[in-house]
Order: sequence, then structure tokens, then C-alpha cells
Amino acid sequence: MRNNIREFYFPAAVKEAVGLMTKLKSKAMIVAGGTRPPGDVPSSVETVIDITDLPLRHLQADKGWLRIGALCTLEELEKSALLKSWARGVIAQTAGFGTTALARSMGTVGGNVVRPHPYNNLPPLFLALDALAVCAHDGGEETVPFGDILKPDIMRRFGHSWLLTELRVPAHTKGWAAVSTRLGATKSDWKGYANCVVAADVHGGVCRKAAVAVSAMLPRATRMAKAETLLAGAAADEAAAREAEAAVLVELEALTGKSPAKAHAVRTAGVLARRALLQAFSSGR
Amino acid sequence: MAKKTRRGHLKAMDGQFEIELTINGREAKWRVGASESLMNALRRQGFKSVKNGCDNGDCGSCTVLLDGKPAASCMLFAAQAHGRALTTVEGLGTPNDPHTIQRAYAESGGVQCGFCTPGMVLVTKALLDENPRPDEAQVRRALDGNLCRCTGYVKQVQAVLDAAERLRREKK
Repeated sequence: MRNNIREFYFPAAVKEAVGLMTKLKSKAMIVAGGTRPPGDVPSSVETVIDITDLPLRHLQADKGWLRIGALCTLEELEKSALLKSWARGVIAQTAGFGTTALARSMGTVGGNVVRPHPYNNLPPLFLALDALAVCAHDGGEETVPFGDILKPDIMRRFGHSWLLTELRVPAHTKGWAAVSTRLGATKSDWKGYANCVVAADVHGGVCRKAAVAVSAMLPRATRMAKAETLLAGAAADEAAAREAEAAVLVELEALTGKSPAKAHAVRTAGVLARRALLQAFSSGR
Repeated sequence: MAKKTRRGHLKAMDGQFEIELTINGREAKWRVGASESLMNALRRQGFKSVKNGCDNGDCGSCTVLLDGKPAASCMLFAAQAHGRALTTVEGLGTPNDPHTIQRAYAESGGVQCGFCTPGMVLVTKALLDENPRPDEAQVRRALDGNLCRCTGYVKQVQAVLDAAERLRREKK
């Protein structure tokens, strides 16, 4: 067993945690939910910072935003009455996807978002819901569009100099018809082949605006701009969903370089997008 | 001991931390390896109901209750238990006086080789503490992190539903 760890900190304030991270850099490792085995610790790590005592477990609607603390567990999201009433319950639904009751009981929102596994289920969700990410660092606090934190230059700061503290979902998404879909080898398989989240503002049979976010076969969750352009102002019907599916395929083929290894996942994502759109259109009526 | 509001800082001495925790209602001070998993520390301290199945958070055999919530102890550093309350099956009942949930598992035939049983019993405890009247789907969902290679889960599900009914009767 590697045994280079010499100190364990339990900061009670975000500022304290960020100060430790900034000072110790790669010699420190953040732990929270406990979904990474202790045996995986790099030998460079000398200090573990357990952030579970930070006051980041809030789930509330406040001043035009749905605010989700980064330390909320997937189980808390899944069971939240507030989230079940938001965007057709898509956040609660997605948090309950895949993996197991134990991982949902331990795993946190922050861990799901900032550990850059392309198959994690929450990034496409928050991307589709136009969320903002609140991040603390040595210079204070920064609120950035969720898509920005998925970019490698920002993503690599987490755990070293940045700490995700909160996700903010805009209030206008509360009435959206949103659906989250995924396909994996098994229902509980964390590593899905394809994840797709659709969020649509549907009124009077018209899709006023739609967001389509796909992940798993791409390095990070990505919005499907071509499909979204087609859907904006279109009739919320099967024809629009089929056109969007075709647009998703074109966009994903370009993004994956038509890789034969990813062809199945790309086709799957197109089908998931169409099905999710049809479901969203029908629930939005 | 309730979870400490301020747990502070641990410094290793000879590669070990001294942690304070509550284990099955009793306060304790343990010396644990600086990168030792909670599962290994518990087994070393004699809590052999905590099983080493996969060492990767996949099987649920090492489940404990951490401040009342199910947790895979193989995925936690032992030091993460500092200032917190742990429950293992040893804290629920004894062979002579088993807990109602343990009795239900035994009498429903929910135990075969028994390796997964402690984890399942603890998950059941957490479920029934939160929801005394679960339906079958809720029971199956609560148990979905605990693998059993002997059975088809039918008897365990039956045991949980049976335990729920017994506990409700006991409360009346």
C-alpha cells in the first residue's frame, strides 16, 4: 500500500479549502463523496482535503435561480420534491440514472461534474439547462457558463486551484419539457455508450427553443447547435424530431471524425435525441 | 457522538493517524494507516461483518452506515470517519438477540452463503428508517448496490418487506 499521505484536513469554510488547495497544489487531493478508491491515490499526494463539512449542501429556488450546492448527493437530487417539479423532473430523473444506490448515496454533484469522465450523466443535463457554475478560487468567486467549465483549460483547475461550489439553473427552465436518456451495457452501468438530454420550451404545438446536449462518445458534453437551430420555431412534431436526429448525426460524425469505433454510439445518440424530443413534445403539450 | 462540527486537521505519526469516531454507539480512538481504507481499518479492529468483496465500490459487501447513510467503506479513507458515527451489523443485534431486520432475513431465507448479508441488512436499516412502508420497487432500488451471487434477490426483497411489516407492528 502506498503511504505518502501525511496530513488530512477537514476545512469548514470554502475559503479555507481553497487556501489549502492553492498552497499545496498537486501535493493535495480533494475528497468528498467517496467514489474513488483510496488505492487510486497518486503517489505525489501528501495531503488529503476532505470537503464534506463545507456548507455546500443546499437545494433551493432563490431570486430567479435554482441553486444546487456542489456537495448534494445524487440521492438528494433524486429525492428532492423541488427538483421533481423542475423541468418535468429531469434533474431528479438524471441523478437517479445508472450506477447503484450506494454510489447515489455517496456521490456528489460536484464530483460528477468535475471528474472529467465523458460518460458522467450530469454534465449534459446542466449544459442543456443553460446552467451557470459558481467556482471559488484564491482570487474570490467566479460564475461562468456551465459549458466553460467542461473545457480542458478550466476543467484541469478543479481540485488544484478551483473549487466548484454551486450550480445555478435559470428559473425560466422550470416550465421546460426536458427529458434525459442514456444507453449503457446495463441499467446500472456508469459508463453509458451515449447520453442525451433534451430541454424544450414548447407552447401551442410550437417548439420555441430547444437545447440538445450529447455526451459519452465525445471528450466532453456538447450542445448540438445544428439540431437546436432547426428546432427553434418548428412545429413540435415527429417530423421535427426526425430532422433533429439527422442533424445530430451529421454533427456527431463531424465531431468524432466518422470514427468506426464510435459509429454505433453516434447512431444511438441520434435515436436517443429523437425519442427524447418526442417525449418532450408530448409532455409539453 | 454526533458528527463534529469542526473536525480540523490530522497529522500522521509513523504513517498513522489517530482518529476519533463513534462505532455502534460507542466512542473510540483508533490508529489507522494514513492511506488505509475504512473497510480495512474496520476489519482490523474486529468488525468482520464488513466484507472485502471487490475493493472498488461495486459490490456493496463492505457497506456501513456513515452518519446513518449507507456507504461503501472500501471507497473511503479510514481517516474520513474521524468525528463521524459508524454503524456495522455488530451494532444492530447479537446472535442471541438479533435485530428484527436480521430475524426477517433469516426467516425469509434471504441468507445463503451470507457474504452479502451484512451489507444488505444495513441498507435495509437505512431504507426502513427513512421509509417504513416501502413498496417492492423501492426495496429493489435500495438494494441495487448490493450484489448477491447465490440468489435471485427474491428472498431478500421478501425479507425487507417482511422486516418493514414487523417493525411497524413493533411500533404500535
